[in-house]
Amino acid sequence: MIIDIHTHNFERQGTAPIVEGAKRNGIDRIVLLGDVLRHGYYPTPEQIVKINDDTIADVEKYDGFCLGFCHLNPSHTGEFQVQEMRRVLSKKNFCGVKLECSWNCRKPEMDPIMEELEKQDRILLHHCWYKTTGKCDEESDPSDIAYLARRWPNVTIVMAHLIGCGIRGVEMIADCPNVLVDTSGGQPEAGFLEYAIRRIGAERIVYGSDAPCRDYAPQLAKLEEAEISDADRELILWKNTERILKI
Amino acid sequence: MIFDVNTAVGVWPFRNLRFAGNPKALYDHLAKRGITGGVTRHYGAPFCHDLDFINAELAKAVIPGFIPAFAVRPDYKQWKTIQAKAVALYPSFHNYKLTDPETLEMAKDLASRNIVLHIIMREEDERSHHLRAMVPSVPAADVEAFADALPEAKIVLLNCMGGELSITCRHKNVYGEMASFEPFDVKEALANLPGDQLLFGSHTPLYYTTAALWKLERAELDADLLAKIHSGNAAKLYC
Repeated sequence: MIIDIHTHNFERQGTAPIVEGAKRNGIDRIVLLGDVLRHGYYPTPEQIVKINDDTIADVEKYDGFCLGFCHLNPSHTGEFQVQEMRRVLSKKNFCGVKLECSWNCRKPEMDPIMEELEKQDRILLHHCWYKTTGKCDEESDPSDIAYLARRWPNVTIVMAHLIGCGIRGVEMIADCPNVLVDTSGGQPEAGFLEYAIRRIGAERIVYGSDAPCRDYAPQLAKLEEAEISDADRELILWKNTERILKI
Repeated sequence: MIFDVNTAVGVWPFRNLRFAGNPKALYDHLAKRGITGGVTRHYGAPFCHDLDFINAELAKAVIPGFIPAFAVRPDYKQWKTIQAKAVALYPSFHNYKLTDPETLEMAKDLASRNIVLHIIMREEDERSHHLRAMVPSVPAADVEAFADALPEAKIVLLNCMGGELSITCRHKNVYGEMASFEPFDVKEALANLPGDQLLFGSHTPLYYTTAALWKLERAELDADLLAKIHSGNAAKLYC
């Protein structure tokens, strides 16, 4: 069994190739996080609604294979965030909220989202990277995620992009038990996964690909070649995701 | 048999690498995955001043079937006497330009001796560089000018990303390696590239070898194209 917690249904590519590619690579279910870059890093409320409507339609179309997340831009009013979360998360097979680079997650505007996630017992999947170059203005790094996680210890947070967060990123969230890290994205660099398992345990790592920004096959290959136990591989490939998404 | 043009021995200073100091383990690892030939360079070359030492270490480490790509730079005159099938150029790390007259003089001489020129476009994703070692990638425009100036040279670009592989479309003497190239649809991405100029590379040990293997094997490529990339093109290039 394999569940991919990090894919995107980009309008320009269509969702069919994302679904077909996953099936061809033996993946049993995928999480669609939305077309989060369609309108740049700062989508308007209307654009957010459209992105989420498209994800709702895709999750309905591929019922049983696709799960969905609600995309938000935390710079919008708290009232809008909560209203949009309630609208989207009430749909079948929707599990949580995906945030990109619209707003650094240390900012207090995150509070209405986190409060609602806590109330609904849903999870947050947040883009994250320790970038030396090319960092966006509001982009969150692992120290920001750790800050957020300590303020909201009852909300499960998936910190995206293990390779981009690196050793330092794992260190930052090591003492935040409510933070997991996904394996998506980045070059297939060896050693990070093994390190993360040693440092925070396999129970806090979930498989993701970041398709179609990345390709399923090399992203799965990281799990195949990493020097880890079969039990840990199973936790990462699907058991942890099943647990935190409650599916 | 798969021929991997992007393998390395030695230590990369920013990582706790597998097989460091144990080339036998590296080659055993590759052989288990069907990779029994290739080209190997030394991860110490970008940062070590003593290239003779690095090249001697590399020569000791490499096993039959694999070709050592000895490091050269235009301001170190050992290139004049070097005996090799392939050499590695690190313009960004060694702080020179491919279009400098000294570089072209060196490259012309090496090419005249049928030595394949490997240009290391980068070693890692620039976004993840060490804060005090932000070495830029080699500019694609410099590679184009270099290839124009050396039409007889055999040039291999290692760790190509994004559109850099398209340089092969404009220069018949340029070959592209794909360890750092990861489009969602590999088959579609390769459709517009010259199949005779693509080479298999894994960037082992820095990357997981299986990533490069599965990327091609699961792309449902035409069998002839896959065979060319896996080893056919390299067999002609390094003969």
